[in-house]
Amino acid sequence: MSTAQPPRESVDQFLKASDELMKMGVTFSGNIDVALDDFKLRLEGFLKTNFLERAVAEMLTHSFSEFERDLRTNLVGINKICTEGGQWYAFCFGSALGRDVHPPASSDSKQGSASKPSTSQEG
Amino acid sequence: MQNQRLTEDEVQKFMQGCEDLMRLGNKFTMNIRQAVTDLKGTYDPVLKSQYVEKAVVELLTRSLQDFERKVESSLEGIDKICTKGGKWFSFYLGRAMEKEMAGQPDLTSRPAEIKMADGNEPEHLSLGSRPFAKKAGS
Repeated sequence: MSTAQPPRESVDQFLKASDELMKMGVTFSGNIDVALDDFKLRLEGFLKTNFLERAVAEMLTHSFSEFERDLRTNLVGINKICTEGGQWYAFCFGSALGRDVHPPASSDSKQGSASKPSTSQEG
Repeated sequence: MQNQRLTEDEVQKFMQGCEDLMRLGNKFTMNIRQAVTDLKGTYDPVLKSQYVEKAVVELLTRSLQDFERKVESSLEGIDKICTKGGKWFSFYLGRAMEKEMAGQPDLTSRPAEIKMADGNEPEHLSLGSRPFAKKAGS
């Protein structure tokens, strides 16, 4: 390989854009989390009233619990992609250009998961 | 790996990993959409029954619609990141490697091997005769 490198400015610009994209993913994920909390708060208010039959309230509570568990599990996955995945991308992109880039923190276990993303949980 | 350039194989492997990761992101958003559909599948019949007061039905229906709208809006954003973002990741990494090998330090123009879908999205990338990444995230 040649020792010539793309302009530092271009690389920095792209890495910054990549970082912002990943942060946007985390923000979207956070928005879903907040929306879920809001809905949960309202739902719990309804379920505590006597305007619903008890059996119905129990059924709705059970359904919502399952839904909440599924949604939060998948949000954790999305967050991991946007945080750890983004860091690994920056690391590999920088390394490919021969730049002095530090790997993401607590690397050993994460390195395995980054190189084998398909083995991550799929919700 | 610090201070060492990645080999072509390592980059190839990483780009495959990157593509898989973006697909996984799409899978997670699909799972969330399915979970919302399942929840509605339980709530809708209940809200249509006579076991719930009319006022509660209206309030709960509105809350559910509001929640669904917010979730869908954010999922669309995540989907875009995982599809378009994933393609651009492969595009730039492949470009950087290509320029490294060719010794042309220019990241501002598109190499001829890159096919652009819809005129402005990278769709396929190759390094010399070797395909570098398939349609990422799609």
